[in-house]
Amino acid sequence: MMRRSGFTLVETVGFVVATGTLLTLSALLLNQAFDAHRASLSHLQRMQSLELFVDRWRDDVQSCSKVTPGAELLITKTDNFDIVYSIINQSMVRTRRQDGKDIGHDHWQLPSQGSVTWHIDDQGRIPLLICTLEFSGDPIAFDDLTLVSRIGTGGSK
Amino acid sequence: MLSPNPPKNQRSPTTLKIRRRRATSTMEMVVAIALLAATATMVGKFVHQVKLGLRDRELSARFDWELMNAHERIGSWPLERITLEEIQQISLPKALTEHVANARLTASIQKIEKPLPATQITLAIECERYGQTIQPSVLTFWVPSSAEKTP
Repeated sequence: MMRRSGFTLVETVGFVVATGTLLTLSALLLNQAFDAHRASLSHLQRMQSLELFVDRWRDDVQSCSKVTPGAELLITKTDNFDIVYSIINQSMVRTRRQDGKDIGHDHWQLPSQGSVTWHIDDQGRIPLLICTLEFSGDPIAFDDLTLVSRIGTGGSK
Repeated sequence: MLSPNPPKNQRSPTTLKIRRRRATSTMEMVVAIALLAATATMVGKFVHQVKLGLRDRELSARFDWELMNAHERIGSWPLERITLEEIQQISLPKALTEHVANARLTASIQKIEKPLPATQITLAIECERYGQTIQPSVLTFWVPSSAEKTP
């Protein structure tokens, strides 16, 4: 009786193909799960960043003496202290200026590439500053975001 | 002539026969496929839940911002303009209504006298999620009736 001392080529190929298929499927499944987890963490950070920006921006606008919209938003707090909001490299940047000199920056990463426009609506009893953020790339559920704040109604300094 | 007895430690030819497996049984295949399918389903559900969670969180933040926007708008109006009819004319942005079924801003107004004469306004955004109406965000604020400081 001849005893087999190894596997045939077909058996080996079959084993390799079956193992390869299983590993590929497992890798695909795990990759999906990891991607979703990574995306959720990144997304959460950017949403938190956006929320922080909105709170800070409203506070600045409500506690200012004057706002000057343009390509950048200039918020005059006192005679010698201004705040400038602008978008640089997918981040909303808040620059503090004292006597015309930059004394500090805050950055908030936006959910995706975006542009911003500011305008004043002064039809009411108190003028409103309207900020419109438009996003491209759409990693979030909405393409644009409008924020409204009354100007100079007494937020915290 | 009698054949010699086999030694005690030698087994008979039938027990020597080694059955070598040449394939997997149907049951094994079924179990393997079932395990793989179960894993795939669980991962799929996990990914779906993560996406739903993200979307719900975005919408929740968005609802809060829209309520704050409405609050700021109402706060800028003259006192005589603050009526239920006027408030109900505030519309939610298209970007939101397109993503959420039946999203709408609802409001209620109540005059109060204590601790000071004011109008109490409650704003809420209602929408339909997962087949039922939910009220995800509510904001209540007060506008003094007299010439007190604005809210």
